Amino acid sequence: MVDDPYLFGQIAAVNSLNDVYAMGAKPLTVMNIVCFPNFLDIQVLGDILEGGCSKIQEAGAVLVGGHTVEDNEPKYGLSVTALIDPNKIISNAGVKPGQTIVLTKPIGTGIISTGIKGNVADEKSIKKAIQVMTALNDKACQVMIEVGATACTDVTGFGLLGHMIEMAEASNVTIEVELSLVPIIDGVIDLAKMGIVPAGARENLKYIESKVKWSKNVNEVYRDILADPQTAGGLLIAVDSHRSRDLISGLQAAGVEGYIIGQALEFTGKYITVEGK
Amino acid sequence: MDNLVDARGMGCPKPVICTKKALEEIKSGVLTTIVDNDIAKDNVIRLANSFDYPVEVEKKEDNYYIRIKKENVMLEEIDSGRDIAVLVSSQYIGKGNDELGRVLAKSFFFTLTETYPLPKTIIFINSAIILTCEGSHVLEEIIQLEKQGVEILSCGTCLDYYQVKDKLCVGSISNMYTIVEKMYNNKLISV
Repeated sequence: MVDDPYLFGQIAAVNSLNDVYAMGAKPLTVMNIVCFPNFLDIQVLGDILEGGCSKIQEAGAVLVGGHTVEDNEPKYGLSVTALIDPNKIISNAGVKPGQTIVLTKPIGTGIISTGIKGNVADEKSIKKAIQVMTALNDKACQVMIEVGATACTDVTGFGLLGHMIEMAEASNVTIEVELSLVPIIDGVIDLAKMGIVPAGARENLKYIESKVKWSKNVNEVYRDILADPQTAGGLLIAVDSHRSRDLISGLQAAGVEGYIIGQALEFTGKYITVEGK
Repeated sequence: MDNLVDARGMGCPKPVICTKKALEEIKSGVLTTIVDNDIAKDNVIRLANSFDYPVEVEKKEDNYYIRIKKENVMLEEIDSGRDIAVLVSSQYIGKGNDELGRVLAKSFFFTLTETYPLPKTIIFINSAIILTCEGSHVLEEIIQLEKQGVEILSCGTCLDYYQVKDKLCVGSISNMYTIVEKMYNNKLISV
């Protein structure tokens, strides 16, 4: 995904830590889980762990140990223990018809990572993707709790629509997405138009196909983008409509991006409806 | 003999990248890419479509043979050229008579507004920053360029030196880091 071991460590740690923020929890302790080949310079491992540590510190968690396994390629992740009042867990099952759906990061990191592999992504897009992938969802989590969000999930490997479907299914609602409102990182559309799309996006699409109703003018380029697997993506939040403004302004005040991308409806027979531009 | 990319066994995005490179290497003609899965097939077809090259697909056993015809060589070469950045380092165009240089500046920026493709960025350094400030005789043209989507950058250090930072009328203030980056990433024309 990225060649810089420090960044790799940061992204992997953020990806792990963000899971608990999606439930409204606060991380307490973490363990490093490392796979590393014996032919690589040990300094690389040092840099990966240092990158991870910087994010653990930022999250206010404590690193208490870890496990290392020898493997052919470097892998890194965290086992995270977090604290939450069981009555206040925000699950993905609490979406109610009429609510507003908000996303806290732009999408397209999978396509940009594919572009990086092919050496065709431009500097600006790469920079933005790295900024997105290294951002903890801690502040977004805090704001969503304050405004009383009723459901949340984080957008990762199944892409925006994949995770949205999980929410809609668990809550038995239909979520209507307005394509023109979905934030997409600059450069992603151009890459997708050229067919620079990870295989995972197509696998996601195949999986969600039967559950989505596409309006006619949503072409395959945008379908790929909406199904693009994300690394350390943003929070996908359901909030009562009259609180949506507070959520967006709260996010902005906390220095977090926030976009209203759609609304929840009574279940119509398909879990997702995508309206075109 | 057709040009050939055998992308069987390759994972995304390799089939697309290899096809793109092969297309860039040929001036015109037919390129055949062989792939062994639907995802690679769809992505390679999409690449060809993005250039408006005609595509034919033939399925033989478990493989797809994708024939792409590269056309419109001239158009392609112009469009695929790097973006242009213009570096303006003096309020006068050219060395010699300043009065003449001033007139040339007017005609230079006017001509630029009617040029295709437009530069992506125009960078103003040293006394050239006078041109983006209040009282400039080419302000109208530069504002026009900005409206057409050209990025206008004035060197911050220079604005400070000439004490005209508060008189800047168009574009934004930039620093040497950004300026050098623009010089590196674009085809640079200095005037």
